[in-house]
Order: sequence, then C-alpha cells, then structure tokens
Amino acid sequence: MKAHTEKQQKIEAALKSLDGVERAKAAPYLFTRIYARLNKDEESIWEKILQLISKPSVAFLGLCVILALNGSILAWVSGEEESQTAEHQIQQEFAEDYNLAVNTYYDYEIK
Amino acid sequence: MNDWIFIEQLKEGDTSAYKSFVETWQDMVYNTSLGILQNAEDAEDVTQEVFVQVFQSIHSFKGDSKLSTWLYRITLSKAMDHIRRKKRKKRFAFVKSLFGEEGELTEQPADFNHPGVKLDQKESAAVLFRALNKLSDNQRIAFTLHKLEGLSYQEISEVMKLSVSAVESLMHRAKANLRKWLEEYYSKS
Repeated sequence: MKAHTEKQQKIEAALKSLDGVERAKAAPYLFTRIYARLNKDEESIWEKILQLISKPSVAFLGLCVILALNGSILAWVSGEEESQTAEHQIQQEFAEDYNLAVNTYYDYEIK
Repeated sequence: MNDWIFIEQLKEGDTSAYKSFVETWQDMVYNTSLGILQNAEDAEDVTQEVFVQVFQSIHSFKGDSKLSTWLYRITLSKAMDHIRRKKRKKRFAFVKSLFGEEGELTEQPADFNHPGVKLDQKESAAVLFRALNKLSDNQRIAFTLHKLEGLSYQEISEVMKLSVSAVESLMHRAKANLRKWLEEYYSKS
C-alpha cells in the first residue's frame, strides 16, 4: 500500500515537473551565426541544385521521364515509318498498274 | 514592435531588422526546439535553420496567421524533420553494422535536463522527458507547446491547424499515455 502511494506520488511529481518551467535561453551571438549561414546559403545555389538532383527519388523520377520520352519517340518514329512504307507501297502498285514506273531513258528506248 | 512593421523591414532586407527579429524571437524558437529535440546542440542548429528559412521565405508570408504562429509552425516542422533525419541516420548505421561496417549513433542518449526546470524537479522532469519520447508526434507537440511554451489550447489549435476539441483530445491522450508509461517505469525501478 505504501509502495503504491509512493509510486503515485512520483508519477504526479513527474507530470507536474514542468509546471512553472522557465524558457530556455538561446546561446549568445546567435544572430552572427545565422547571418553567416544565410550568406553561405545564398552562395551555394548550385550545391542546392546538385543536392536536389542527387536525391534518389528525384534521380529515379528523372530516369523514368527519360525512359518514357525514349519510348514515346520510338513508338512515334516506328509508327511514322510504317505509314510511310504503306503509302510507298500504294504508290508503287499504282505506278505499276498504270505503267508509270519508268525511271530511266533506257526504259523509254526499250518501249 | 508591430508585426507588420517588422515584416515590411525584413522584406526590404534591412539587416538591423533581421537582428532585432532574431533577438525578439530566438528564445521562443530555441525553447520549442529544445523541448522537442531534447538536445541543446540540435536545438541550436534547428533554431538557426528556422531563422534562415524565415528570412528566405518572408516574402511568402501573407499575414493570414500571427507571426508567432507562423514561427511556431516553421520551428515544429524543422524540429520534426531533424528527428526524422536522425532516425534515418540511425537506421542506416544499423544496416551498416549488419554488414560489419562501423556505424555511428549507436549510443543511447543521456537523460535530458531542461535548463528552465526548477532544481528540485530536475529528476522528475528528466523521467517525464523520457516518457515524452514515447508519445506520437502530435501528442508530443501539443504537450510541449502547452507545458514548455505555456500556449493555450486555442493557440495550439492555431499552430497545429486543428480544432480546439482535437487539441483537448490530444492532450487528454498524451497525459493518459504518459501516466501509463510512468507507472511502468516506476514499477520497474
């Protein structure tokens, strides 16, 4: 019983230990350090950019964007090639049908 | 000095305004950081980061909230970021130690003594600070702002962007969790 009361007293004391606490004071010359840091931060904009780029998430995202761009360009180029081939084939068939595929002077001679 | 005059001078890049601003708010920022981080060096580092952030982003301050509320928000965000960074470093050191490499930060931090606590309450306060580390982030923030900075529930609700009843609930749960942890602690010792 006594031990229980003692324990409860300790708990209450701990919970009330921050009552009336005073504010902790910052170290002197804090402004000088902040000002120096501020100027240093202004100078190192390239460092910030490099830090951003070297973040794994940013690097991974960049890689994904490049791969997606590559894929889309590849798809676009092959699609265009296919349509060009089909168009060329139609033109060739048309030329053959109407005997328009005469390309050289020699061909005229034979005729 | 009026908040608005301060802000206008800061926006103009007035160095004496910077100095005056730091002197006015440094203890508030440091005390809050210290309460959350429980380490004087880390708290000073975060305090510097807070003021650098304030000076760099003063142009984006629209005045929707009080200057002190804005400062509390930046301080808490920086302090929580610092804790996450430290945890990440600890995890990394642990993984490194698994691969046989020597890792840093393996030692347990010593009990924290807040310089503003009365001498006869130092021991109890050190135990309470240990218990505070077991709380969730929001409970810890609410408790620290209320006890160390003396903010009312209304002011805490503005800082944390919560309703007053949500802050009341956070405080109630924080006290209950602290009591539970302290009971276990004093039962063992």
